[in-house]
Amino acid sequence: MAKKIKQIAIYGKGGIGKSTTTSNISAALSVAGYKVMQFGCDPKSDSTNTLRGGNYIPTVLDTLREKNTVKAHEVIFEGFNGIYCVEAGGPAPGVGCAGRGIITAVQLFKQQNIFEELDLDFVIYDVLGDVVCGGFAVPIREGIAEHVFTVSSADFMAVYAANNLFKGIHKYSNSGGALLGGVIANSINAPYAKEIIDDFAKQTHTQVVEYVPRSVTVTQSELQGKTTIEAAPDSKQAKIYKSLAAKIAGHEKSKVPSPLDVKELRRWAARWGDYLLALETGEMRPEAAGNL
Amino acid sequence: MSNINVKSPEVQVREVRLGSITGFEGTAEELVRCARAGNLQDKTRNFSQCMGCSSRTAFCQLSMIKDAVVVNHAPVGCSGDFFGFNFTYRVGQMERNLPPTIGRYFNTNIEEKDTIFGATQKLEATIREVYTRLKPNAVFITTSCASSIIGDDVESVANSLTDELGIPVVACFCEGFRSKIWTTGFDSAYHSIVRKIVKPPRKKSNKVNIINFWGSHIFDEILKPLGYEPNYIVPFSTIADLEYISEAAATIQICPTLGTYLGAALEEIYGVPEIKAPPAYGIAGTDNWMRELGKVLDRQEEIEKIIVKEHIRVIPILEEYREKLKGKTAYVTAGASHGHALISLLKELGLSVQGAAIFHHDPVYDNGKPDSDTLLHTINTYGDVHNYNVCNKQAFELVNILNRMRPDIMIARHGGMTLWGAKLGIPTLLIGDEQFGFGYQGVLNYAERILETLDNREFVSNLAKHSSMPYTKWWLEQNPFSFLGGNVHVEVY
Repeated sequence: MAKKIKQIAIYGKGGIGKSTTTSNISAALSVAGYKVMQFGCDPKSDSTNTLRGGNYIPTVLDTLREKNTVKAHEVIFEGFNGIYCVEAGGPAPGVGCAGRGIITAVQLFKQQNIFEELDLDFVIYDVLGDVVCGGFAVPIREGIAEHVFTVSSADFMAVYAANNLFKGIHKYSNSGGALLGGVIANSINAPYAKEIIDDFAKQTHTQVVEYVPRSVTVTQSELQGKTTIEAAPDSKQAKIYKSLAAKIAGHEKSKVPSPLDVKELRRWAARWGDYLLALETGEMRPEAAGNL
Repeated sequence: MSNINVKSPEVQVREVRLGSITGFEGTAEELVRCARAGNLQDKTRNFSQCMGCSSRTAFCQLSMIKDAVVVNHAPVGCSGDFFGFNFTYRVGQMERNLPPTIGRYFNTNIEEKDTIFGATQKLEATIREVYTRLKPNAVFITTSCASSIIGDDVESVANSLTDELGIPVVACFCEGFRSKIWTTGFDSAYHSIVRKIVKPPRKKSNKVNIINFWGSHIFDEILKPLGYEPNYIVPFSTIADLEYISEAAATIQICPTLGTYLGAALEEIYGVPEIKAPPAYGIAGTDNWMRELGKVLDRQEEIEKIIVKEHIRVIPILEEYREKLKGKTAYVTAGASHGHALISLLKELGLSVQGAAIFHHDPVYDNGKPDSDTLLHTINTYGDVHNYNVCNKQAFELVNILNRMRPDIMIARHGGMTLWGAKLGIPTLLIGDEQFGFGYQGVLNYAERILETLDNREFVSNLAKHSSMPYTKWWLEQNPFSFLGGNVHVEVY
């Protein structure tokens, strides 16, 4: 019997560090001996950049633009440690429909049974920003990915995007859509950031998979066009990514989250706002946060 | 505040502009009263059958401009209605002794790839090709759901090709999903004409614009004795004809559902007075309309003479028809204002109108005048209509109603609706020429056709015997308005 391919989608607010996190997870899984494909679903097509030494690859849609039929092999490029890199790509800014582009690119791969053919262990979809429309919900909706993780910092807009993603997962949870694995807490440096993200996970009945601090090692690696796993394999940051990858590899059971409605979310944020202000003015001690 | 804004590329949909609705059951009087009270609200259906869309209605007007071309920027399926309009165009050419010309309609064939990457290049290429082949005097681009969802910048393409080709290339925004009221498409077509084709008047002329579909030219007879010349727009006109509709002495609409926007726009922008009286259907309606025509054209004395002469000619014949039609019942299905006209006609002939299924309702027309309200006019002149249903061609409701009412005759204005009467053995009359019932002679025309239809009852009886119904007994026993109600299918967050 063919082995089960684990398909994972990673979402989160634009600029939150999805591609950095995803590429490091892919690299770490690959280093751990798994066969991995990273599928970038962003018209910017920069998801796999650090797996390819800073080089961009031709996208599925660029290739499709040139000719009518595209063989999946034409748009798969080898990256660090044999990782298969794919970029869906998109239309020129302000033109056409990027969401439809994602649907087309994903379906092209699905139809050609390419994942089975390559004998993959993991396919990781790095999906643009928020769940903005049906096109970007496709990896969740059609159950192409089984598990979804969201990258979020403690910033309100990042939490907002994560909550929107939870709504998307919730919507499709009864029709075979992907379920939520948890939150990857990114840029967790300030003392209160961990508490905020923990509280959000608690409110929405999910879990934090890993806390990833902001690190200059990541910046240094990316400036060389590399993941931290490749450029600084023994660094503290690489260890965190490896731990995250191991947790994702071992993750079995995802759940339906309980997204907050917009009013609840705003109330929740306002309470944290008041608390942080009180903290700054010395009116409250951090350990009281548990009561919020 | 005015609803006419030619600076905007898109016309506002009727739901927003006029507060129009597609779902109602009650009496006609109740509907008008609610509309006047300003609290008319659309009743959404939680089950709906096929109907039309704005793209088709826009195409209906633009496709028969003799020297223009229409490019439908859409997936090829959206051009499924081309053949029907081409047929009408060819028939109209024969009736007008025009040289036979096939409709010059094109489609950009938007495919999956185009929805991803945008299809404006394809649109540009299509228009250039069309121009090379046909050298039209204008190109109209009709949009579609697909081109609009992906946000193709059709207006920019139209503007740059206008400069490049030296002819008006005009975007007509008529994507179907914007409005449940497909007559919004007429407004889109007229908006594109007023915005890009019509020029300011050089001098006033003795022409009178007739906003119509493709009916017979009955206005020649009415206007020529008054010293005016009819200018039938938009089908079978040319771009040059349309350029100076701003110079006309007046605008007549054969149906305000059709011409509300253009009539009001020409008056507001260029001072062309619109005949605001409800169109001339039935004797009282025709008297009223003729008097307003006399006022606007400054021919009041002549009009009074015509009214007297026509009454003497028509009323005795009408009495004979009334005698023959006494006690007969009728049901009407048609577009809004024309439907009201048909109700007036039938009541004028002494038939009992049991009910009507009318495709939408405009609480007010673009001129904003309550006097123009055709349903109000019908009620005031001929009394209320019970069982007045507003439905956008929902055949399942119609079948259920007809099965209960079993009128002696059904009058339909649109193809595709008549079969439901025939399948139930109800004599059904379809009249495609909307001018057929207009004016004094129109009342007689209708009477004659109704009698012919009633005489041939055996035809539909036999047809019914050999027909099967797609609707089950279960449905026919339900309240016909079971699916009409307050947003029942909408999840409220």
